[in-house]
Amino acid sequence: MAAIYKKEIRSLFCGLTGWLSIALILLVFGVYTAVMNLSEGYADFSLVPYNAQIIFLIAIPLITMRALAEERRQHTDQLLYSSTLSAYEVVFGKYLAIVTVIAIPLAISSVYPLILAEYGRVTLSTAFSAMFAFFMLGAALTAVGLFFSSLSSNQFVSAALCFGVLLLSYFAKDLKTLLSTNVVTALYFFSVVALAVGALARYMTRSWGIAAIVFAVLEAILIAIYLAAPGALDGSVAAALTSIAVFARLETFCNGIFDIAALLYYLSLIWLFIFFSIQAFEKRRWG
Amino acid sequence: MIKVEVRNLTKQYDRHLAVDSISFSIETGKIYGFLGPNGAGKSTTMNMIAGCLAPTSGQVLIAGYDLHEEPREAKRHIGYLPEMPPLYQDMTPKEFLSFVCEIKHIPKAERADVIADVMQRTGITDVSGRLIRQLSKGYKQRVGIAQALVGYPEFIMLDEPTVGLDPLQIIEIRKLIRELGEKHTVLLSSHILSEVSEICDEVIILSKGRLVARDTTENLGALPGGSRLFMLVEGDEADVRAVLEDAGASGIVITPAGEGRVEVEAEVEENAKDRIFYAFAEAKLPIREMRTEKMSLEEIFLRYTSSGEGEGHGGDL
Repeated sequence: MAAIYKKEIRSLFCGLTGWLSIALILLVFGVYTAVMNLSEGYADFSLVPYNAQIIFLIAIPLITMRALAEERRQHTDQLLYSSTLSAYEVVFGKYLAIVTVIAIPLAISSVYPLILAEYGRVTLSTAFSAMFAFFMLGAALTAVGLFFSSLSSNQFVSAALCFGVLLLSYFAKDLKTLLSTNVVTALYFFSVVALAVGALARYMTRSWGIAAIVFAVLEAILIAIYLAAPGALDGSVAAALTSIAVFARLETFCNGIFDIAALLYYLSLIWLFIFFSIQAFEKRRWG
Repeated sequence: MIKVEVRNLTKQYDRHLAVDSISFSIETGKIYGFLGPNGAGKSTTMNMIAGCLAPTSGQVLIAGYDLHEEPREAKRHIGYLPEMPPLYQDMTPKEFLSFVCEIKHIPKAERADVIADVMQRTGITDVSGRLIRQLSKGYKQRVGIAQALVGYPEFIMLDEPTVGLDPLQIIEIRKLIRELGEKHTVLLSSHILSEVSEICDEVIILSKGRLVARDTTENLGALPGGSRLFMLVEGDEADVRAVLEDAGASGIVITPAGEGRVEVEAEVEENAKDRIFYAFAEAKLPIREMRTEKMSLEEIFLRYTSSGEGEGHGGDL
């Protein structure tokens, strides 16, 4: 795993993506620190990571898109498959390398509240817990990005898919307030979700049959619930959107609460998407 | 020398049967040629032996270890160069080989020596500091072979190692493969017949995913009906035919050649040449010309891979 980790770090810094991601994150942190803390004079540093989270929409697809897609395009995955490395070592090695690169600008930015504290009263505990949560958010999104990189041999397709999903997640909280909570909306909403799951099944298995069965089963369950117990669907759209609103969880930390539930949520997301990535990587061997 | 054994290896893609229950074993330190037209299943079979592709059914045993059950132990004994050399374009050969050393768990103390030796054997020492992306195709192929040599596995598989190279590079790579054959067991795939007959000691012929023949190049040429006789004899057709039939030749074709001579083409057993010579002498039919030809690899190949033929031979190999 150490070999993969080192190689991945090297390739991130050999090309543009590593440097560019670091520069983007540093830029956004620098700008918000200058505006929020220096110019506007807020003593609360947690406002900076709170506002800076939008940068992940660009930085995460950028830094994760190559990870597995490029191995496939260059046929170097053959080397990994024929080696004694396990899929877990390959995927997790790459994951750790990317997370390390994300940690670099965050470590640098973590110095800012210390500097600010020299010139006024800054609640350092809130600042650092917000920075930590910001890092965990990045780590969770990296796992998501890595999974999309494992789906395609074209890094731009991976990046586009990843960006789309992150965008949905970013606006999920706002979307929740826009959509009505009634049962019919839920029926339509989950039908679309079932269709998306079916499309993913088609992509993963290359079989229209399986995709159709997946969609039909999900749709049947949905209609059964709609007919039998419509009450269960009440408010379910809001709940579903909340569950994918990865970004929104950062807010609690910025309000000065160290949210263990949110941390567990991030950790489960990391575990889940690394598991998916390993499966996708291993699936190629079974071609 | 280790033993590589393939048992009933099968790969089924959606509706297409790429490899159909192939079994063979390799145990001597020779160079084996995997021969077959494009799409015969050569690469698929090699990918399965290397562990890059999981078989639908069947078993691969390397040095007694099952590739599926004990991949770590089994893969230690293989070096594999896939059809597309798996090279990281933004590394130098030296960096790349160092990475390969790491994933093959070569102890740190030995790495520098292993890399230097492998680079020297494949002749890439001169370019070790240049980016792989900038190397010529011949050098890239060498780096690919160097990668397979790391860790000195006893068994080396090369998938179409000379495709896309210029004639000079081809000669060099073939020379390199022959050198490898002295210390390692090599399995190389190719659809270039002259290459296989030139380098390989033994040939395994695949056609449409099935193993249709396996033997030394010499023996394959000498299979029943393999030796062909050409003669120019003075005499008439009926006499010549009678003598030949007595001598046990088959498939006799006689064409008049003018001036009382006939041209003869027949299939004979390997050692029948002397007998036929004396038979003609006794019958007082002077032979003006006589030669036997073995089947060339081209003919053997066509014989086994053209549809319908070779099926009968598949069973007893």
